[in-house]
Amino acid sequence: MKRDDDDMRIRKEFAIDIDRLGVDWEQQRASIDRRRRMAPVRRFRFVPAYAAAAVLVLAIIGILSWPSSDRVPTVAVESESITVEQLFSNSYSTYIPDGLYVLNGFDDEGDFEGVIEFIVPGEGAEEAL
Amino acid sequence: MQIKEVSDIVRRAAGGDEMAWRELVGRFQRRIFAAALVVSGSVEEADEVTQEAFVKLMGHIETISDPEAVGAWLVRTAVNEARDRRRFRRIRAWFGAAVSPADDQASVEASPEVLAGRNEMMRLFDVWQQARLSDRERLVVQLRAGEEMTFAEIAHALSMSVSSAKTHWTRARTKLAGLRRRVGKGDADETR
Repeated sequence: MKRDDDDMRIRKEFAIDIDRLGVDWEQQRASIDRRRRMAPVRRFRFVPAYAAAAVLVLAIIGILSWPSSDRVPTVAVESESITVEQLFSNSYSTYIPDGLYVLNGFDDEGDFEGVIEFIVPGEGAEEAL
Repeated sequence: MQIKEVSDIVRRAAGGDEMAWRELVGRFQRRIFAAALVVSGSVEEADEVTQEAFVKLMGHIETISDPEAVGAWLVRTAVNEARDRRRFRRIRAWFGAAVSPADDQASVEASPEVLAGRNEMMRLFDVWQQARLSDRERLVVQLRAGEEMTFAEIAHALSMSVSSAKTHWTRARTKLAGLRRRVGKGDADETR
C-alpha cells in the first residue's frame, strides 16, 4: 500500500507531464508523413551505391586494359647511345622514343655490331638531317 | 489481443497501407517522444528524434523480425538517436558552438500554460540532476510514472531484464526520496 502511494507521489512529483508541453501531435504526424514520402524507397535506396561501385569497377578494368605503350613510359633512353642488344632486350622493348637514330658499327659483311645513336628526338627529326 | 493488433498493423503498414501507418504513428508517437525528451532535454529535439525514429522504421519495417515488438524498437531507436544528438551537441559545445536545450525552449511562442509546463519540465530535469539519476533511471521513471508502461514493456523497450527495470525504478525512487528529505531538511533549517 505504502509502495503504491510512493509510486503515485513519484508520478505526480517526478515525471514530466507530456500533456502540458504543448506538443502538436497532429503536426508531428503530418511531418512524419511528409518525411516518410520524401525518403527514398528501400529497394532503390542502394542504387547510388551500386552505381558508384560499378563505376569504380569499370575504372579499374579500364586502367588495367589500357595499352601499356600509351601509359607513361616506363623505360626511356637516357643515354645517347644504346646497343642493339639493349634495343631488343625486354627493358627497351616497351618504349622507343620517336626520333632520328644513327646506326654505327656495320662490319664488312654488313652485320651490325655497333651502337644505335639517338640523334634528334621527336617530330621534325628528318629536317634536322 | 493488442499484441496481435500491433503485428497486424505493422504488416499492413509494410504493405503500404496509409491508414495502418497513421495508426502506428498515433499509437507510439507519445511514448517515443517521452523517451527522446528524457535523453535530449529539449521538446524541439525530442520532436525531431520522434520523426527520425519513424522514418527509420519505414526503412526497416520489412525486415523487422518481431513486428509485435515494434514499439520497443522505436523507443530504442529514439533513445539512441537522442544520445547521438546529445553527444554531437557536447562536441559542438566543446568547440564553442553551444546550443543549450534551454535556448530553443525560450524561443518558442507558447501560451502561458505551455510555458508553465515547460518551466516545470526544466525544474524536473534539475531535480533529476540533483538526485543524480542515470539516463536509464530517468527513462524508467518517465516511462513508468509518466507513460504508465508496465515493467515488462519498459524492460523490452530498453533492452534490459524485468528485474533490472524494477531495480532502476527502486533506485530512482530511493534517490528522489533522499533528495526530498535533504531539500525538506534544508527548508526547515532556513525557517529556523
